[in-house]
Amino acid sequence: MAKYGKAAFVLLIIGVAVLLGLPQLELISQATLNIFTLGIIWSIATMSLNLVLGYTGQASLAHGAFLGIGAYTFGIMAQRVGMNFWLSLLIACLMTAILGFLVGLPSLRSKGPYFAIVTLCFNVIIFKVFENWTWLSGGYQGQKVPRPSFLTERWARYYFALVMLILVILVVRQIVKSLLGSSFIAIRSNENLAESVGIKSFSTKLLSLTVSCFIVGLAGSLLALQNGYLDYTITNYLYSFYLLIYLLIGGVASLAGPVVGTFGLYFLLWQLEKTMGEFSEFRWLMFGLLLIVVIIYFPMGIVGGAKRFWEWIKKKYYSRRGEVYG
Amino acid sequence: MTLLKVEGLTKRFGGLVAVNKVDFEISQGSIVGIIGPNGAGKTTLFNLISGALPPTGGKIIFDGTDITGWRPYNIARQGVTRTFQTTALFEELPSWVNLVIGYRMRTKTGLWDSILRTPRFRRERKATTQKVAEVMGFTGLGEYAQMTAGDLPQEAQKRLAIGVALMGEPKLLLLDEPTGGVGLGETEDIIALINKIRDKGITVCVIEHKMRMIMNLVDQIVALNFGVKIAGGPPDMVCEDPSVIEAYLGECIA
Amino acid sequence: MSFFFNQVVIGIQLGSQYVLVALGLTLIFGILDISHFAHGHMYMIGAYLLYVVMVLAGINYWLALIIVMAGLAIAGVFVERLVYKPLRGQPHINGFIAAIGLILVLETFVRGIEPEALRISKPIEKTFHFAGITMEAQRLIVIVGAIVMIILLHLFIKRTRMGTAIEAMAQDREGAALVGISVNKMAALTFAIATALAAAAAGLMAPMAFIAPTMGSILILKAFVIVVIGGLGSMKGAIVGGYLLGIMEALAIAYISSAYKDVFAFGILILILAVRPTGLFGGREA
Repeated sequence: MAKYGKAAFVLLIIGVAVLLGLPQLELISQATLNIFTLGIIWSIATMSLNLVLGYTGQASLAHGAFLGIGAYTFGIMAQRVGMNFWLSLLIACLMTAILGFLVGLPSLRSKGPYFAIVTLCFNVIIFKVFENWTWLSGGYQGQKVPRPSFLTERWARYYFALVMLILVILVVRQIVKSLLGSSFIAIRSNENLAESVGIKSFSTKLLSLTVSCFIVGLAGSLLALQNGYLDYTITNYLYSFYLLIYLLIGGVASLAGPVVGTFGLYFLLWQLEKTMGEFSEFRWLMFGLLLIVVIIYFPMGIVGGAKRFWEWIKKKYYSRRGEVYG
Repeated sequence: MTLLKVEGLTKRFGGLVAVNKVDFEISQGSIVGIIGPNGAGKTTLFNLISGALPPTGGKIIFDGTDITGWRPYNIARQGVTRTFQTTALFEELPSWVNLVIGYRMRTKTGLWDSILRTPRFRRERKATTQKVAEVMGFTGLGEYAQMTAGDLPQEAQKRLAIGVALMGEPKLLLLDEPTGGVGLGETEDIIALINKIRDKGITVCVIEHKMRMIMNLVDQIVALNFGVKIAGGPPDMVCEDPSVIEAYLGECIA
Repeated sequence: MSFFFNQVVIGIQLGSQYVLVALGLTLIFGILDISHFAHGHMYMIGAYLLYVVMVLAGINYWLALIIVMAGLAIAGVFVERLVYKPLRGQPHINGFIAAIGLILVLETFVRGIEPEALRISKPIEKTFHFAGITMEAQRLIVIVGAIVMIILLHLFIKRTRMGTAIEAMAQDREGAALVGISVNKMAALTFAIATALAAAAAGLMAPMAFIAPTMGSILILKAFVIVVIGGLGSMKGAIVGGYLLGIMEALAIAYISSAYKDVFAFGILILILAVRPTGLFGGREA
């Protein structure tokens, strides 16, 4: 398992390096650059869900709301309170982490689908609050999000988001490949057994959720920054579903999965929209069919399927050489 | 010296009394066997001691501390680890990762340690790696180190489960039918392993069905039937006990 | 006071929908352990099918209801066979993803054909007044119709062999399999019944509301809330929970605020699960 981890990680770094060089290509239009930037930002959000779902096994359907809370905290701090950029960013992440902690306290005693439903309920409630409490959210009109001087250019924002993504990937990697990470996957694999070997499952799950929320708060802030504008729809529970889909199709419990899934699907949708013209509404129908087909035949996601395929090839190769692989 | 003392331990499920005012003691350094027909309450007894189930009545005192009603992870940290009748492992993870997890409670590496790779992180990772190698050698699992736990042969899985429980540096090890579903030769291997464990100074309590096997292994036996302790003492004495013979229809062989 | 009673009646009507949808969901979730998130969209398809049958084929309301229920029962079996059966044995969350995929397919399909909201005329245009309560005929139809469905379901469960098998599976899935109850047949039957009930709910409600592609979205969330609170697989729980939620919502809209009415159900769920992580009548941990 450690071997594949390294290979996939190297591929991931290569992919990221490609992304790094992208804006240098004059072929990239502003609109495309925007899409890439958004793809990166959403990848950060998917990565955060990967920590709590992919590695710790807790299916949070509230991450849409957390995304919005990160975005709004940043927006309000930067625009209405007039705080400087970095401080606003930090406060946004902390605020989202704190809210994640508070949501986790009553919810994490529930397991599996129950936990998913509770978090979904939280998301709906938060969404409704933002929808109706116009003093906070600005309602339909929303509010403006100011950009610091060094991020006024599109390519600057692109690189900034990319750097953030790389940092997040590194941090998540450090966490999951540590003894703390082993607690997470123990809980995902067999929570009862984990408890009987001395792992405090509730507080560990809570930690995972809190860290995950810190990261998604970052994603939300970046999203607000990228759009330059915020309204209450950013807390929509539909985003929880998007993140879930990106993650599961990409491949849970892998570092490359979230990025692959997010970019892959985000781009697919964008391409379909462009090429389908007047039928572009139907891209959702194709997307839905794709989801069903992929999840039936690739339950481990794209990256998981690729790993299995690789393993299958290795087996064939070794057995042909007469060696026993195992 | 008494390591574990169970006083009047009772577990009620609605109208059913699964464990009924059971008393016994386990001396440090000994091997105690728990026997009884199916449904006698043996596994429930283990579940009570390990904290998997809260007792309805009675007390459990481990190494001088009253652990009655404690959560399983706290009891494990106190020094009681166990295996399960239906072999419980982290099935999709490699064997060595299973062992790493078993040692996790003895380490303190937290969020900042992981992110910043502090000296504590490095120290504990090294200690864990060493311990994993040690326990793998001890349980004879070396060849299976990289294999996914769920793919291991049945008997190796049993040894791995014991290994995981050993990683936590227990003072008391509870083994629930460690030779269940395992063939004759391999049963002897597991018995030998249990003796090795005792030689290391770990106290062992075994639930077993295979009477002949444990007669030579254990120092004391506790016999249960219908949740009640019907006999307790050295093996040959318990074997002659009429109520035990009746419960087992003469299976005992001294 | 009559205002209050009016609200209660509205609540019972509201609850009638919830009950029928929740009943189907509790059977599916409780027996087959599937988070059939697309159930609300099957409800929506039922409403559209009713429109097609009534308006385009010109069939009267009552016959159309029956046709739609039968049609959707078959559709439910198809959904089970094509989407959920291949996922048996996979982690629970994968079924959820498939459900989302199904939702996208159904909603986009419908929206692509007819994005505008549709209306169906009511079969009886009377309004009743008694004991200070004002009630449209359709409201009465919804309430009575739901009760009829519940009774039919009850008779089916208690008086037929297949119904007994379903009850057995709801109580103990593994035990039922051990005594030879075929999982495939039960899965198909459960989906058929559940989807037919959803169709009934949609058909009864359709004359009173707009038929739109997003009809089922919030409804399914509330159905899940009811099922979790009432207990997975518990039909009693679905019935009690559904009516209770309907009444409380109606009262909340009237006396508190209309904007936050949806929040009500979800807040209650969070409170209940915080105290009892396995649901009120729980016991069955997921």
